[in-house]
Amino acid sequence: MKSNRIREKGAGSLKLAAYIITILFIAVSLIPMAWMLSSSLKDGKSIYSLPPKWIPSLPQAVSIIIDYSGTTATDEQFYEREAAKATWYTWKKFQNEAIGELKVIGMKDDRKIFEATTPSYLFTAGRPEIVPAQVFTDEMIKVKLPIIRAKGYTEFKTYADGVDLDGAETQNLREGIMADQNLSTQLGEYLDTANFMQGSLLAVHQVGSWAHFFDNYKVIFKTKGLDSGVGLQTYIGNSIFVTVVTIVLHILIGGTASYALSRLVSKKWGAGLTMFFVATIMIPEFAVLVPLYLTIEQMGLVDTLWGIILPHSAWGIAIFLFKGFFDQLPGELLQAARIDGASEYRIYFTMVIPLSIPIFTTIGVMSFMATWNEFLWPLVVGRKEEVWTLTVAINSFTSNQSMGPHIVMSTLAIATIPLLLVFISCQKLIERGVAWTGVKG
Amino acid sequence: MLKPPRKRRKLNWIAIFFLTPAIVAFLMFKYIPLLRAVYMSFFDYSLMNPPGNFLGLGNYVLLFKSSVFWTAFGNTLAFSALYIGLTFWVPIVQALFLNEIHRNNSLFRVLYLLPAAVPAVAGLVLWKWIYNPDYGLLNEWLALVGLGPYNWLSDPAIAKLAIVIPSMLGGGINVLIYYSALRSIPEETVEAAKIDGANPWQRILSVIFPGLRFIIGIQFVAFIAAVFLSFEPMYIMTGGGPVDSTRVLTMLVFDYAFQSYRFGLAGAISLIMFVLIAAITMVQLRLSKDQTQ
Repeated sequence: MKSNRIREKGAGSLKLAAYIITILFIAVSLIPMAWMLSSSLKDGKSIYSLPPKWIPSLPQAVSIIIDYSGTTATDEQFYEREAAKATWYTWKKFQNEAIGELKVIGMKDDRKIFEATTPSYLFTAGRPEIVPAQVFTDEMIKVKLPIIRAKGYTEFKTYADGVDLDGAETQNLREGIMADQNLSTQLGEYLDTANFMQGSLLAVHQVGSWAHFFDNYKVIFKTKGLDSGVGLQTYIGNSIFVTVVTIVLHILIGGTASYALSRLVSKKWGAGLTMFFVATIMIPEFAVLVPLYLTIEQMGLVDTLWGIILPHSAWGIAIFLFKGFFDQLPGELLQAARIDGASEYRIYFTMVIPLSIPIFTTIGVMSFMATWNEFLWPLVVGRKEEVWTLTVAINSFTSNQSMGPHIVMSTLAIATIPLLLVFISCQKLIERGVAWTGVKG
Repeated sequence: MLKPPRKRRKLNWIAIFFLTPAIVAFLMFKYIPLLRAVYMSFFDYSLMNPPGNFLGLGNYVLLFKSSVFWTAFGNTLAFSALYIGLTFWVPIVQALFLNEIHRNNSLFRVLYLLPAAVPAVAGLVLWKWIYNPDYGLLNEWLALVGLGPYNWLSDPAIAKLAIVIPSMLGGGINVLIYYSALRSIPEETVEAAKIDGANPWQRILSVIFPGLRFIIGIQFVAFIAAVFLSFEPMYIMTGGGPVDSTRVLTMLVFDYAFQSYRFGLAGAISLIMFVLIAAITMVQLRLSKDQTQ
């Protein structure tokens, strides 16, 4: 068929321009997202590397073998302290390196007597508490060891009679300090001269570990507010609760009210009340911010999730869209049901709602987007960390010194997931909603 | 058909039941607060002993005499100009070109939508990192072409521009709005222009773009209102600095209300903004009415 068509002058150039411009715009607008993802996978050192790197480096699983053959101490307490010092003091010194896991193995007379494993997300989570400064003393670790144990940051295993090394460990021991690896060499040099340990260093070994590639995403769930003790789980939970309840309120209140406006009251009343609801679209959030806060305060709802949710119940746009949709429903059908003796409740819940699934889902998605993204109102009402929503928490993370940009970026990526899923799974629905609301103006 | 007069009353109970929650909610969270904002703005409102001292128009006089207010007002206007000049037209252009792509159009639409999945606050935090003067991506890339380095968010001369730049990428729901408006332009108009001998580029200028006039007018009002009310970009990226160069009216409301607890003053500013936005809307409605007639 194509050959029959006359090729227009300019059609080719326009098409070419359209592709180039569209692809350019999309590429540029995806760069920040890509940068966010790449940054969220980096370690504390490469996040600050210059020039910026796009490919995150692979975290290294490091194992250190220390010999205690000469020492006389035998109690577990002593070895746990030794392991804790070797782990936490060493790692603090190299805190920004791409270390995914640190394992300290203690040897005595060629047999393994203890093993202590710490993954990087637990080190990062515990760092502000356990090693706030570079004070590397015995006294310090005596205070901190109970915390490390209680929070389970480091997994200790002691073998009273000792066990044999496994194959890989024997191999590591034979290699000693890996000379061809920068990190291992540095660690080796540091541990050789460090004076906080009793044992002597036998080997430092490292191997790339994909298992710890996503550790930044684990860290943010382990990081808790110092006063409140709540973390990302709480903020995500709050956001989900606020969003879900708000959607239910919008659909319930908006749907019933609009149906009444559209079908149950006289034309005059319907028009007047619709004005009453829809005119509030003109009232900007900022115009009523202060008195709304005072209202919520008088209701005793400051610092509660309901204080964030309740004001959402008045949403003029929902009434506007619902009413427009209900007005177009076929009246004869509803009238027939009425003559059959169905009550208005029945008609609404068993006939109108199934007929109006498109508008219910459209408003649900709009409400989801608006509430999930909301920042100002939760910021004003939720002063306590316990009621922070995700957006408020993200804002506070930027001023949190113990969180590097890489950790913040992984939080951003998590906050993006819900809307990403909605966009990909409901593209058709959103487009239909946009077309529909767009036509209405 | 006969109207059953008794039945109407029975139906109205259901109507009342359906309408009451909404009416209560709208009164409580929209109308009463609005009236209260007006009322409060005449007082030196105190939380301990409301409403506090009556000032009459004192708050307004205080505002109009203070340089902070005029700085914020000027900044708000400057931001509006920047946003209109740099970002308002971007999704229109994007939609016009998207409309010319027929193969894989749906894929391009979803790609335009993807960046909008990043919550606004998250996007701002991300851009703050991109703008980082020491480790940021932007300065690094500009250095490749011999520009910079710039202190994007701490240089008063460019801080406003830095806040506007992220929205220049366009995309998101706005592209879809314009695109769906383009789809609803009747095929016959385009065909007619074709027959009249207009080439594709001319058709965009003379037929398709004018077809968007209505939606552009509506979007423009919403856009201006949104710009006047924008708060998050300034609050998160610069906090109003450097040297107040990005302190806008909304930030003033927030600071007066929740930092220094001068609720009366905050209420007065928010009412001024309300009146300004209402005025812009009225003017725009009048203009678009004139155009359609």
